[in-house]
Amino acid sequence: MTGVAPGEFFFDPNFAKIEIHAKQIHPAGKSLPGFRYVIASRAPYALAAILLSASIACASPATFVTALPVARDQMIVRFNAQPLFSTRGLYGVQFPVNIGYGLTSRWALFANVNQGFASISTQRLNSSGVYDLLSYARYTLFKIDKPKSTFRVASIAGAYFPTGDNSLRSKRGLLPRSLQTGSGTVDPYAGVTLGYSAMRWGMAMDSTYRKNPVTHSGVSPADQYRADAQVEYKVLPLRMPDEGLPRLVVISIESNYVHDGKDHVNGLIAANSGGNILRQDAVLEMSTLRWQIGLGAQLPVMQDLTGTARSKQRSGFFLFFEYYLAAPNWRSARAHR
Amino acid sequence: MSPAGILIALLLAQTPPAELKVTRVVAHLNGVFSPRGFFNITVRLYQLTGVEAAKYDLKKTQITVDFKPGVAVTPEQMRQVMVSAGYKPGPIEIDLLTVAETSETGPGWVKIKHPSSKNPVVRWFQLNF
Repeated sequence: MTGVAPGEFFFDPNFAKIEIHAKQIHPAGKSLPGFRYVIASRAPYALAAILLSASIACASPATFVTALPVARDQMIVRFNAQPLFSTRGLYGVQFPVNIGYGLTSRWALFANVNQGFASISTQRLNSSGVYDLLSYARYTLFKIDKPKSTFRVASIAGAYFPTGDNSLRSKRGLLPRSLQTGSGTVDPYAGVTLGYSAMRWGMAMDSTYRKNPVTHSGVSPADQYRADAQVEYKVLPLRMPDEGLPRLVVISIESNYVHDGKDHVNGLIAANSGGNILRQDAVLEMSTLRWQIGLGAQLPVMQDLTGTARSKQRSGFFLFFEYYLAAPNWRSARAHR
Repeated sequence: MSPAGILIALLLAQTPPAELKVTRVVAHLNGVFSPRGFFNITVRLYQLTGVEAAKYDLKKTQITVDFKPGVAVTPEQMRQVMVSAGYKPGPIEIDLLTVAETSETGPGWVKIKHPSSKNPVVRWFQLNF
């Protein structure tokens, strides 16, 4: 799990006009861009995070991937698609891809890559491309495997790498944060995740923090804390067959809390940025031996955004497809020589 | 050699060799409650020599593994499969069956692939797709 919900890639709590505190002059003496910024804060980063989770336990949340189970020599590839609908004419779509690799039974490595496009129709602004890359390692600190249940706790640590761009511009100047594809810096990322699973139900939680250093040029997203929780129940088959491995239909209820600090634009604090958001998700998943597919709906239940005239997220939906692979086995390769 | 001796030798030559037995392992797992968990075990089975097929029983959290005739396995090897997949092994039972006894398959049985290509990339694709 990376702790990034798919919705985060699309929705920026800081999506609003940016008002620069105090001075309108950049420390380097240059004037700030003269048009009103519309900043969607986290979209690119959250999207990348979605894709990168390792498997820790049995539960399989859709909106955060830090708890995805990944065994030794196993690879998980999760493809996500999430359209973005927000007020003030912001829309777009993101396609995060999460890759997990089990190095040992306790260590797993993850990478989240993200690409997509976003547009602010009212201002005829848009951007597209590759977003920042998230890479992290997960170590299972503690686990209890019982015949009827399993429980695991893991720590994660990694960073976002600036493969995107935080200084995309239009003819009118710097694009708003919602249209930037990166943070411009290497951003440390760490957290803890846990999962519990039994025959019919399971749960997962995580808590992560992303530190975003401030840059002197371009848009610098603020530091971000987020906490996610999930409960899932296997609804089908109604009666589990005595033998065999049936296809499972699972309902997952998930919550995502995100706290954002203040963004910076060209090194100066953006007043209309930051805040707290709580989203509620309902996801329907089908799971088999080699793949899993899910469709979810997301509803923002609290948007406490600081500043004025902030743009708010609308209800949305997302899709994901997950495929399990045996990783290339170098030990076996030697045996074939 | 006398004609009688030749006849006896021919009869002996036509006697079928003793049938090789099939090793069947039934292992109980702790902590596997989803298809993904069974796939984690499957990945380890790919690397175990002589595995022919496996059967997954979700309700019993149990896996049954049949090996190729004549291939033996120890309980410790099976425990290692589960431990390396990240799970705590439960009780393990090992039986020797005739080929006829193992020929019946049903729900949950999966053929375990053992690609033989010398090219590691081709081998990887054969394993996963």
